[in-house]
Amino acid sequence: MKKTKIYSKYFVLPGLVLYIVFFVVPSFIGIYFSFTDWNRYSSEVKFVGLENYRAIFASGSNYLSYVRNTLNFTIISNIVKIIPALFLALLLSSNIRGQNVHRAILFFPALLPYLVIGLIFRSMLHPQTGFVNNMLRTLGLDFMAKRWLIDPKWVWPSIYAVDAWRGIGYVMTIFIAGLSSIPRHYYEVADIDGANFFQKLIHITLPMLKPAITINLIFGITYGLKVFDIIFVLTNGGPGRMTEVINTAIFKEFALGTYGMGTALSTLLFVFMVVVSVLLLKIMSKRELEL
Amino acid sequence: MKKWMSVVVLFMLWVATGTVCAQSGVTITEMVSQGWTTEVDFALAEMFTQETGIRVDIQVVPAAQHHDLLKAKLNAGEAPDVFWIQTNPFAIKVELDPEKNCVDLSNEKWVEVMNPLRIPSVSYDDKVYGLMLWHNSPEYVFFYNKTLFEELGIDVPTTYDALKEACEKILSENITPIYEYTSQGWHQVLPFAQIGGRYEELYPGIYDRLNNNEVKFVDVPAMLQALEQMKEMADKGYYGEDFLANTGTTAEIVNSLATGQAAMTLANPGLIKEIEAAYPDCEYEWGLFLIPIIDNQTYPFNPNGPARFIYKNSKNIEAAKKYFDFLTRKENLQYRIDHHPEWTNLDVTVDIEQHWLPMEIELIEKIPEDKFKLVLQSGVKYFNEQWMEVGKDIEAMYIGALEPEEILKNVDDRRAKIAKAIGDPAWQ
Repeated sequence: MKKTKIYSKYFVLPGLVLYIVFFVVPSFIGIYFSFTDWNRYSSEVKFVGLENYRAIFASGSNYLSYVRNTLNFTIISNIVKIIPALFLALLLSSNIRGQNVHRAILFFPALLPYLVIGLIFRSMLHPQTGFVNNMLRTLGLDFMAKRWLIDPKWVWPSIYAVDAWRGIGYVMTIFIAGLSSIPRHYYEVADIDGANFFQKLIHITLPMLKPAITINLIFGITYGLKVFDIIFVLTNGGPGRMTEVINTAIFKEFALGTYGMGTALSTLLFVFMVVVSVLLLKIMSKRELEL
Repeated sequence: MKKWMSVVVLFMLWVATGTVCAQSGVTITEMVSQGWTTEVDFALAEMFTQETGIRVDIQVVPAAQHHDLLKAKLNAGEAPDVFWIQTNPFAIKVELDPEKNCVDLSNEKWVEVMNPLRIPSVSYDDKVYGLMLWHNSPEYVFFYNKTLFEELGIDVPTTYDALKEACEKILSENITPIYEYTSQGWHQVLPFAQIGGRYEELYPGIYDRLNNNEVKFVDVPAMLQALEQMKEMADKGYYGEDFLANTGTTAEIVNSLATGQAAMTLANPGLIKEIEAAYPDCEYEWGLFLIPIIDNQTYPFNPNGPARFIYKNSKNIEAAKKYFDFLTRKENLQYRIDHHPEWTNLDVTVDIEQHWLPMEIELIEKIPEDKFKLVLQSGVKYFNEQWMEVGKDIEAMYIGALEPEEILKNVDDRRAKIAKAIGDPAWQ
């Protein structure tokens, strides 16, 4: 009989020490500094209690709108990516011709750097000279030509569209992996029972895809809460401050040297992410167990 | 014996090779905002490399991001060896904290190459920290299509009403009266700040009172009026329908003006050189006039401009100093002004051949001496530091998200925040 070797628990110590020194301690120090007025203009760091948080949540404050924008982005960007990605995954798992080529094409944008995407789409979405409006005008669809990145009504939908273009392939790939693990005989039995596409989707595919949905939701929500690059390169928070989110605000606070406020915003983001991720994991794992 | 000799020779060769490699392996990183650098900087950097073997890696950052990125890098202790920033005597401490971040260059020979009026902008506590090689042209006045104005019978506007009238006439010809852009974050602040002399003219001593916190921006009616007029110009379409999408790149500005799509823009006179280079067949004549918002007729005098600094924690301080020595040599200053695509002169004490344009001389000669006034950003504390934030606010005003009065309140709030953090007694 093969013996299982049990290593000493002390072997975990180096990793644990590194984790504590480089992650836990800085996190707690950061949380402490969020209650101070730490800034680069003064060497004195004063404890200000909840003052930074009060400024964030004061009615009419810019910060509050950044928090709102971040939460909206998190919800909407996930909806516009996950639903189409699911249907694309179903389509590209149904043995259509050239499905691997289609998968590769859809995944390709996820490999592009955000800077490249920003430069390309800023040019494509230019109201006068951009490819999108020029194409719409050529097709006689002038009424659909919009001021994509500068009109307050269209700037967010434009960001969602570009973000979806980049992210759908990645989400779809996770769904395809999930779909490939569903035993085929479930569908064969359903076919014998005369189930149609939607019945199979509701009663077999979606329940069996819950692990993939959980992964996509966790990735999507953490990405949404941490969003920075796509906003920074497409609008830099503009027009005005319409598309500022928590991370662009943190970047600007640190640039201004108001570290206390910057760490308060970071702490807030950290709390949001912990709460949402824990809740989501609990809900989804409970449902997975029920299966 | 022979064996030992071979070892010694080999050792000496190794040391010599190592020394050469070490010298030629030095690379200075230099971070600069897109609008401040041109091919002439790259050419000079290449010449420096050929002479010394020290490479210069010029990192050009989009204007909208340069300020925040540089400040973030400085605050994180990861700045490049050489960096550019626009400062003034009031802002240098807040913007740079020079004692902590910059190398003291007071004893460098080239300090006397700079115009003495510019030295306070790169100095703190009697120490010189920066090298400012900048031009002395009329800065950010209206650059306009003289030919078009003559064809439409428009006189050079000297009041806001006359500017509006001119814009209406131009607009009726389906031409954008003013090429304006906000995408780089800074240009939209100019019409408000370059007319600082007018505020001082209307309320003598207003700069001192603002600096002593005896009055706030929001209490200055002319400032409110200036913003309201800027908003009115945007609303009336004088900047064009989609000006928020304008990129503000030199190519786009030149194209808009040289092809007659736009009639004016706030720019430096050197723009004419860019137009001549890109559109040699363009037959338009060009001229300059002062920004007539709130009937301003003061000349925007500004001894401050972007300057280079050496990062204190750099490992290549000596190489960077050599680079500054090289840039300030007479023949290289002459090279700069001979090959610069935009500038017509260089504000240095060294006797070099300048290339002033007739239209610059024409404008300057017309202006009475008492109309040369310091611009707002150089005369009032804690304004230059928030330039990009004011830019955001003005953009928000253009889309209707912020009122002019709110912009002034925001400026006051940010000034108070900085002043209190520094411990300015006027704000205690």
